[in-house]
Amino acid sequence: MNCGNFETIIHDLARNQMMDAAARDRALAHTGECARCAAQLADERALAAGLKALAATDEAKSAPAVVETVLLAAFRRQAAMPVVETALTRSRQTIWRWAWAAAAAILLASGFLAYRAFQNDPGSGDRTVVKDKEERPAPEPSVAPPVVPSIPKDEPRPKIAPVEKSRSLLASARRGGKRTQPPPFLIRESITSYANEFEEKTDFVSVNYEDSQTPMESGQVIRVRMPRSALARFGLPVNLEQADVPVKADVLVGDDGLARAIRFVR
Amino acid sequence: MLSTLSDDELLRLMRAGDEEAFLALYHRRQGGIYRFALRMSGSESVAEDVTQEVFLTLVGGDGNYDAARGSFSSYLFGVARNQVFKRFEKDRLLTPIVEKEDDERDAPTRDGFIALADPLGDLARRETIESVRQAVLALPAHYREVVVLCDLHEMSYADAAAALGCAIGTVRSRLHRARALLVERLRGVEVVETRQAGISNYYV
Repeated sequence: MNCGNFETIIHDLARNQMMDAAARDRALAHTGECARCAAQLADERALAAGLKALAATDEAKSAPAVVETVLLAAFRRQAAMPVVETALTRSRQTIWRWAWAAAAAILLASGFLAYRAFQNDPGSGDRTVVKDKEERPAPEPSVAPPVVPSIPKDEPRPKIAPVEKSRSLLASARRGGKRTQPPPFLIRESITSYANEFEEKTDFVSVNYEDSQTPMESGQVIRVRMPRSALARFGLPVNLEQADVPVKADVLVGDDGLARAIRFVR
Repeated sequence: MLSTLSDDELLRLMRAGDEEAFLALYHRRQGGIYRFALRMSGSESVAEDVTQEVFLTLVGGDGNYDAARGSFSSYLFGVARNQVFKRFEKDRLLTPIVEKEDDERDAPTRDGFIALADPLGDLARRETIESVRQAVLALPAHYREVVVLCDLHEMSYADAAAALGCAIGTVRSRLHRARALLVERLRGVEVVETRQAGISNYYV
């Protein structure tokens, strides 16, 4: 056995711990050859004896009776109000449960409001084009309501304000365009469902710019913002208190680029 | 009859409001907790306070004892250890700053309870034991606690590790280092004594 090996077992050897008998014999033999390790073992044995004596000296020491008295009084107080404590604990748990539920509800509501605000954010230059071939057939000229006056040719056409941003397109733009634009039918369905859920709309009314209209095979519905005065041109009442606030409208535009019908959205 | 029950069973009865179970548990464990705090701090008043706090924690039901993580005894020693360290922190602010001697450089500054040994007066066995006590108290706290638990309380490495919240290997290595420090300190004292008081054998 060398000094390194001896050092790994010196503590057990000094404290007469259980160990391999052969290893013990080799270690003791090593102390006969190495004075340094022998001195180390003597030190360890002396330390072990000193600690043992110290432990024995303190063995009878214990906490004074006053500690027990204090603790017993505390225990009796505690035992006297188990129901109250339990009720308090339950009450605390209930409060925390409700607090978490309220926090979750606030988070959900905030998220929904942010989503709504994001949807209503007016756009400045983007334009949403929705193919509406199947669901929005062009109105027949004959079904144009007689109460709606047609716009004379010499009058300027209603100015089409910038179109609102599509949330899908805007979201795509904000993502840096990394994702591909979703297919048009997804946009259409999204807007349609959103409109059906939250918007109040008039019916489509015909816009007669020309005397003879050719039947429209396909077209686009374009969401626009218009001056509020445009309502009057279609025989709709105008709230003068909000005369400077534009109104939203969906304009049905044929493939020839002419507006065929319009509906107003609130 | 209660004395035959295990700690866990007594604890269960105690939590159900059984006063006898509480007293049985207290009488069984208070001595060890008190001595641990006394050996760690060197102060009887601290040991009393720590013992009281440990069992108040138990009475108040604020503890988080989990039998799967270690024995109840280890849990109590862990609570006691935390209380001792709290007192160290609290009393550190009240301890006057003193110049440390060279051979006391390893002692942490928070050991305000430690009284320096007086080797010149160590002539009897009792005084020699006191010197060993002071040497233990002069150890840095993280070495002192393993010596107190493993050497003075004869706790197994596994139980000590559970009480201290560390790995068994950490307990082993700290104990090894702590014993080496103790030998160094006591050997230094022995040399001084041998030279100045003519004592040839310091140890018991």
